[in-house]
Amino acid sequence: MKSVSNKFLVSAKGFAAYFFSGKQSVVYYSTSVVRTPYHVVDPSPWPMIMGANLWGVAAMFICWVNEISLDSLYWGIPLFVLTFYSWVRDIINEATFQGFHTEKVQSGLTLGFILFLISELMLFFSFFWAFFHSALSSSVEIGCCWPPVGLECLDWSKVPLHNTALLVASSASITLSHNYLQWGDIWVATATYIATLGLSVMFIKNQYEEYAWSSFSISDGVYGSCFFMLTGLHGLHVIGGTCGLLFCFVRMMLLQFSSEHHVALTLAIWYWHFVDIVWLGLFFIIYIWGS
Amino acid sequence: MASFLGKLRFLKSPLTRRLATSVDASYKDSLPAKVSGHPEAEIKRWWAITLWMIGVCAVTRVYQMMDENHGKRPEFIPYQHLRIRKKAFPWKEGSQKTLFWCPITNAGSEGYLEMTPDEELKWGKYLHGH
Repeated sequence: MKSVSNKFLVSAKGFAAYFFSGKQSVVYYSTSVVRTPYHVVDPSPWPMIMGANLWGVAAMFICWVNEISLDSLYWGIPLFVLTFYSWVRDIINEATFQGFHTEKVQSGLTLGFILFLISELMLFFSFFWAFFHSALSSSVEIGCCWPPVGLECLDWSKVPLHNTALLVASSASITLSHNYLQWGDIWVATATYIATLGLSVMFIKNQYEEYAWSSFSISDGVYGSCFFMLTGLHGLHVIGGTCGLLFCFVRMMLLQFSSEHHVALTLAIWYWHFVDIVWLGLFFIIYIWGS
Repeated sequence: MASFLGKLRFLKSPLTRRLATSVDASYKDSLPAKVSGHPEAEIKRWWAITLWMIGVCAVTRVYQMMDENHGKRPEFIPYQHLRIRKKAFPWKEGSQKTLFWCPITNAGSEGYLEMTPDEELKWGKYLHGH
């Protein structure tokens, strides 16, 4: 079996090898190696394929919203999954198994992630701006008051307060888990990590229940639009953050993290804290002040 | 079958290392530079925060469940600025129903809609119980 797969590797030497062999197929050797702490990445097809793929996904969404036939675009989803898997696998190979991630590379990745978090903050900032624009000088169409006439707001001391407690508790437990990992005790780190994942799943379920029973929807004027745009976007971020934490959990179980070097986990935890802080902003501004 | 088990070989190393009990990992030997000078105090503090927050979660959950009033239907007044239906959503019945449609609390543009048989099965018991 092994010799067959090796022959396949040697003969194929193409993109197919990436998908079917599960190993890095082609190694590029340069004649002179410059010694720097930076990582000069081997040529990779994934960024370009991902770019084309994301165009396909965007086109899918546009066709769906405008009720145009999607038949020629269904390749987008499986290709996205494959490309994402392959790219991330390559990064993990380079970092954990080939040792390319020096301190310089780690700090570069961290800086890049901070910039990404700032861009996410800007995204939420723009929707908060829209909310304040409508709420501070309520137009005559909604009754010159906020919340608009005829809209039953949610009681902030019920579901939203519980959601706040869940997210703050999950931030605390993930910090605890991280401390235990740095300390070297992986069993307690695992237990507290599972508690974090459980709390986040409870948040998602609770938020879904609230959405399912809400008396107003996204098409209920500017209040509905602002409310569901903000909370919905936040909910998607929570789901994404939970997927990131789950992914790092699997890597932690496979012992790919050491007590000092675990950039992916650190960044996933930062993302989780970011999601928590955005929720606190949402809670105090939209739920309490806005009702 | 053999190739599938062969693919699981990547689990051998982590599992072996985790279950190994011959090495007694003492944190004092390998204290990483990033951890603060008093890890016991810091960990105790985070345990306190976490456990207190879980307590708060329990209290808020009970408080949330106390006033759960699922069958209540708000009075319908045909406001122009609510229940806007200019463009249909791209799903079935998108001209009337939003994504998280609740037939008990959500109304169409002219009033509360009749429940379909599926909706009656799922939501009927809440409405008729009140």
